[in-house]
Amino acid sequence: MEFHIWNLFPGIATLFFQEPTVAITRVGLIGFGFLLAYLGFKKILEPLIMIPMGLGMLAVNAGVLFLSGSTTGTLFLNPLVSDAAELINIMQVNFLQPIYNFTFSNGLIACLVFMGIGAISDVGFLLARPFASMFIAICAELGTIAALPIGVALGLDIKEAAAIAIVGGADAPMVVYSSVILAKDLFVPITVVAYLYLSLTYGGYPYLVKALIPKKLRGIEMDIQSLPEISAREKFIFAIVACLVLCLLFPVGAPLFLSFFIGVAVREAGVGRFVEFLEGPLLYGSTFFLGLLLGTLCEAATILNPKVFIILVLGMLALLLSGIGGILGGLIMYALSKGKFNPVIGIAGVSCVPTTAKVAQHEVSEANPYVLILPYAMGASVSGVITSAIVTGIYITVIPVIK
Amino acid sequence: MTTKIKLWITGLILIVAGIIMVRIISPLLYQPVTVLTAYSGGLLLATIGLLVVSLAIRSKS
Repeated sequence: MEFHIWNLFPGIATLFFQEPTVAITRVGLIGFGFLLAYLGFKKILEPLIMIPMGLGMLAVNAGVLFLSGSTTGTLFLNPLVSDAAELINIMQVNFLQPIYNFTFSNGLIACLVFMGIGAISDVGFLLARPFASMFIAICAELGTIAALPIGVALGLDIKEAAAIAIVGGADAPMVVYSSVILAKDLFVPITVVAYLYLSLTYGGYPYLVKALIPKKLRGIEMDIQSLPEISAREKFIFAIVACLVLCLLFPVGAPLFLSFFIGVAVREAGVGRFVEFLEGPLLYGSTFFLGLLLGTLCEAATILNPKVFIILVLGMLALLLSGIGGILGGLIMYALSKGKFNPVIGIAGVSCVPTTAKVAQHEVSEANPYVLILPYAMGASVSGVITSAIVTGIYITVIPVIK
Repeated sequence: MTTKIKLWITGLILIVAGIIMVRIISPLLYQPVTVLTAYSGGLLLATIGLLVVSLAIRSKS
């Protein structure tokens, strides 16, 4: 066998054997992976996702080796294998292949994350003011709804446009779940963009609030004392009724609804061991593998898809419009309540419990340190999770049957 | 009949009507506009029903 010095360093040598665009993209992704992991370390981006995702991205683009013949590949995973026999073989070679096939391609990982989110969500805030909370959450779906026709106008297939539009719901597990069903070829870039933007958005939303709501309105006091006490029994019954109704309406989205409401039900039933498991090992374990696998799926060939640029633009637009929609909802509630409703609560309608609620409280505290709006904001935020799940249910039910 | 029971009955009727519109009536229709109208109308009814049920759940009397 002929010896070449580059056989000792296949990670570097493959750069010279691949197409120049692929090689340059690989180098770019190695740098980008390092940047994401470092920004996660500095807590500028969400470290729970960005550190495993960044390292995964870096490793998969660095660890390319020569396979049989003149082909190159990695020992991480191959998302395109569908033949059963080939899959069994490849599972014994690629170390992340079993996790990908058993948790990603069927949406299980999104459901596991959602169980954890359910276990940390208190629906009592929603039940205290159901109409106001749901109204704001529906307004905050503006981006999810508006991005669909915009995506189609930009030349995307309606399923792809719907999958990207879900980014506007600001619930990354939902994006994973819907894109696996609606746009499997694009689910990696869509989900990476979703997680990246969600990390950035929470830094950007405070500026949106300041730009759209005058300081005087941001400091409006809310009556916390008038909020009714909601018992665990009432929350438990609501979780069961809501799960039943939503599963009846959208059977395709039933795994998501079950996952969320089982978390809520277990929490309200006070099954401490289950709650500890769901909100601890399950939520963080799933989030860890979600980040790691998303990173390792970011190979150069995936990112070179020409639709990635549209995904970048449309994802950002969806989140921006959702933020604006939520604030508009808050302003409408302010007008309807004759000035007694703090419009900043609107931004909490863009779900992701509890981050947007914290953003809302932070902005209000800056304007008036004596005002507490967190219970109202949490109600809007939990409603946002439910409305995002409903819109996802509508999209994955209706879009596939549209010809 | 107490307010709580009235709210429960109203909410459940709205939910059932919504589910019937979404799952039974809309698939029977042919025109895309009427399908969409029945589907969205059913969703709206079911959502309002769910909100009414949530009021019923927390109602004390």
